[in-house]
Amino acid sequence: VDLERAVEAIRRLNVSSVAVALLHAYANPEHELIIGKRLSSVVPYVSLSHQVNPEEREYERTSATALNAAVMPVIGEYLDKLDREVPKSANFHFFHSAGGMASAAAMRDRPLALALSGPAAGAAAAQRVTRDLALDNALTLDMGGTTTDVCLIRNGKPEIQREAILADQPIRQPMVAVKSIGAGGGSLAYVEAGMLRVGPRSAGASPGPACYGLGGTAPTVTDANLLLGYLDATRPLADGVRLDARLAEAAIGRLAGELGLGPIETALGILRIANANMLQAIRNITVDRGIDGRRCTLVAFGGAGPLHAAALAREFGIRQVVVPAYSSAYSALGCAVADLSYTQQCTVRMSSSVWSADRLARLRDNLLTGMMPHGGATDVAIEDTALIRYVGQSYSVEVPYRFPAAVDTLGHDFRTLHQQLYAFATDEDWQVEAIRVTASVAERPFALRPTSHDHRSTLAPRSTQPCWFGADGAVATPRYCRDEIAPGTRIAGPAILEDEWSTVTVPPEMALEAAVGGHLVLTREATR
Amino acid sequence: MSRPFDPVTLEVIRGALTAAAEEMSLVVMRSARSPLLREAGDLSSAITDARGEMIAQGRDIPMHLGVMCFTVKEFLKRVEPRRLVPGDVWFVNLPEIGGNHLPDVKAIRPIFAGGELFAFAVSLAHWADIGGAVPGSYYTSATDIWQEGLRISPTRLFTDGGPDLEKLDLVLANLRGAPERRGDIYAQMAATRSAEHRLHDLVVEHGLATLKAAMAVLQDRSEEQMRAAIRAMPRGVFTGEDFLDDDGIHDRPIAVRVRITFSASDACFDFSTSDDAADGPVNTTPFIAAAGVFYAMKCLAGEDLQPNGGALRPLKVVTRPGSVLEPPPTRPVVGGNHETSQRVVDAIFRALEPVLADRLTAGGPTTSGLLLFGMRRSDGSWATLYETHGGGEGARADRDGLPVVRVHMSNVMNTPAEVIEAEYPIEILRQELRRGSGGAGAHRGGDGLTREYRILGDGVSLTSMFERRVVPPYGLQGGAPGAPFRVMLVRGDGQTVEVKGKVNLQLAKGDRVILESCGGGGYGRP
Repeated sequence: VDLERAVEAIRRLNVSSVAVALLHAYANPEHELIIGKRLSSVVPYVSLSHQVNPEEREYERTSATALNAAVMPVIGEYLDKLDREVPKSANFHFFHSAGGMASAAAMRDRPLALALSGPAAGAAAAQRVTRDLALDNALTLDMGGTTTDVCLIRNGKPEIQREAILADQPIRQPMVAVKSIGAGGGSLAYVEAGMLRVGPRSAGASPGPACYGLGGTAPTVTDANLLLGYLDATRPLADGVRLDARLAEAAIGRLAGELGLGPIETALGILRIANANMLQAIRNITVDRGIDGRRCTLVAFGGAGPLHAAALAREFGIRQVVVPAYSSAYSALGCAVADLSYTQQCTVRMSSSVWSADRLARLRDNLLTGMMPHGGATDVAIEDTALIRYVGQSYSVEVPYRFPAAVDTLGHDFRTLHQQLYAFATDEDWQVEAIRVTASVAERPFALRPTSHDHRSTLAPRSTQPCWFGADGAVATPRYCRDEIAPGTRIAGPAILEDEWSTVTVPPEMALEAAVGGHLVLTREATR
Repeated sequence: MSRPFDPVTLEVIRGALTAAAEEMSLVVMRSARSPLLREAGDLSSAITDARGEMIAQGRDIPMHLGVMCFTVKEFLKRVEPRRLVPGDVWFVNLPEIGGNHLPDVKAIRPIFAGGELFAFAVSLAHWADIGGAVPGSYYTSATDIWQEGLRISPTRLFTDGGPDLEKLDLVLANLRGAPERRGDIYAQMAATRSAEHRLHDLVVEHGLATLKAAMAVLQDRSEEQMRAAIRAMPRGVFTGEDFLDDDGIHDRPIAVRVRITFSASDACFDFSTSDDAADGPVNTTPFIAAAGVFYAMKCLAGEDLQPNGGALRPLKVVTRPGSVLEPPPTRPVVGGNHETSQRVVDAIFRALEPVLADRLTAGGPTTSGLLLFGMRRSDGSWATLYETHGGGEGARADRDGLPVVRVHMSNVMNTPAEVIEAEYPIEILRQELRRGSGGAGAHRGGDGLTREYRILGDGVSLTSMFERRVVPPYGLQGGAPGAPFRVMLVRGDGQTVEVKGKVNLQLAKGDRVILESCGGGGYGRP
């Protein structure tokens, strides 16, 4: 009776999308299904909480469901339009935030899975590079004008997180664990309590850095890069903006006066602090996962990533940096090379003392059934992860396993990981809080064409200009055109490589080697 | 002016120390057992220098963080530094040792480099039970502190070789829920260990001499920032007062009074004229009074103020021995921690209303709004649901108050209904906005919350510890006060009684508890 009244009220509201979230629906969806079925006759779009996010904690689940409901009509109409206007668009695939591709049909029901998928695509492209170059652990560094995204790729796979904040709302669903920080080319430098601060305030694109000459007068990271000679004032940026070194010098000079430092020292300081801010983010995502970030390769892309990567690697003690081919259009590339994959998880809550392998198998089966109809592919690889905790904890350790899992093996692996993460482990009972399944269709063939089309037999710099890598003096630094560098070429620092979209800095103590596929590998020279 | 220091290195070290403190809190939340820590986050983390001066803190709970400015300093008065060795983790909860109340237990790890003690990591966690007369350790009729639970004088529970099992067992033998508490203790130990790793990394990166110098300079800089903030205050003497509803034993309000003097570059907060120490558990410590002062000044001086020991130097806090803010050490204190501390802040803000009204918020839910359910599970183990309830925020000069938030000194989250219902014999029948509870004004106070609990088992105890039931959240500049806090108990037979702000009760299966949290005060005439 209550249901009929609610349905009638919703019908009269004349809305197009409704979210349904009932308490405990993650454990028992029956009532949500009944309501969903009834509602589908009066509204075009219905989101059910146990389908959007089958996990406990009503606020987060409801929030995710409401956001899903809000974008459902938008995505639905977009897909309809695609259907009408583009032949065969039913075969299109969409890049989702857990780092894989899903079918259009799947995205109609769960459009929230597209949220924050841009940064995830960058990580997916980097995953491809780690395969090309046979790297185990890598850190991605995607630096743009206002933010920098970092992500850990462990054993060739991007780390997955369970929740993020979007428009001040928590969204909880499996997503590539990209950490964003407010540090980019436009980050403002200023003095606070006698200390030099950089960001998170940003000059943005307008007025932009002082050197853009668009009205900004406050010094930014980009101004520091220009003053130190890394950026070339004689070449306009891709969008036509011309950099004015005098404006950068004036802005940084004022700041230097406040600090009692020279302008070069100040510019170097700005970069060091911007890099330190990024390092905190990197520490956060590695230490948190029990990984020593110094043993990872830094994969740098985005407009400003290749500019900063070498210095950042030096500060942190990372020995190797890769600037991949197509580094400035990397998110787009990620969409092209990502696997067809889909991730889903459900709450289990099963204690090691009352183990039921049957129940686990059944729940996993349900997850897989929900995922499979959309793909239609045959060669599907399944990856299983159990989220395990001691009874009484509320955060779980992610334990990869091979189905069907033996309780002893899971327990052993859990305790080992817990010891690594928190420096202690006990023999108490533990429980599987949830299981996660990722289904993917094995790597589709996609060959990257070599980028270079203008290899020279003898490589010559376009110019040689002074660059400051330390406060004690400028170094004559050759500038090369990136497209002219053939695979196998080796260039010792200092050097600058440029293409239309980005600049790669090779400081004095590093050397660069062009690898197959257009990737550039920077390594620290053997100790002097 | 402080010593010169390379501004770039200083900023790098400042960021790293703050990140290390924040990481400590993450470690506790992720590995602890009790819902109070892992769901509600009733914990805080800090790093101090070798003398115990606060250097960095996590983004945690203001009243903990204020208190932790004193914990290690007072600890070092009892434990000589030469007794400390690498690998130690000491636990302490005595209010007189830079403390607040017995449930907030501090784990202190001395950190060494090259044999030299140069820092401490402190992890404070609210234990869901510390023993004493009632489950959850909030005994509202307590007349002395021994009734409130186990008093832990500085005790080395971990050494380089691992836990000292005899001492650990002694602690666990004196409280309810030992298995859960053991996990929490390990989590606090793990947090201090992660800070030790981070600090050792910093020593390798910058050298010990530079790191120590930076820790000193960071304090000097904060002192300068605080002096600048005081200079920007209106000069003069300002007085304000606020009242506790009662002390749980006598039905009469207790005054907290402040006399603030802003001089050229320092400030004095004199609470001497506050009422005498209470018989019941609303007393608190001078450390809490200082935490309230520091919190209020940080609100007024801007968020850029780097909180550390240096920022406290220009602030003089005076309390009178024998008063509710400096009671004899025998008096009970459990509720004073989060109730009287809020009165300190309210008294300061009320004193400043005539000169700084546009920077203040009207009265809000300056109480923990605590209901504590204690019970035994079917397997005999203890379960404690420690639930704080937010209310309507006070309005400001430029906007209405927000509905259902926590304000000022506490920063604890609520427990989701699904978690409560899954883990306790309790059902949440309703949770909704308490419409119309915000005070009228040019800007309205935020609305409070209504939540209805139904008890599904027998033998459940209920403790209340909340304020603003008698003295409502005040309006500012002519705004109306918010609706007061109200909790009703509906017995299975339909009989309804009001639950006062500080009581211990026994509940029976079928009883319902209906909580209505206070609305915020309005700002300006309606």
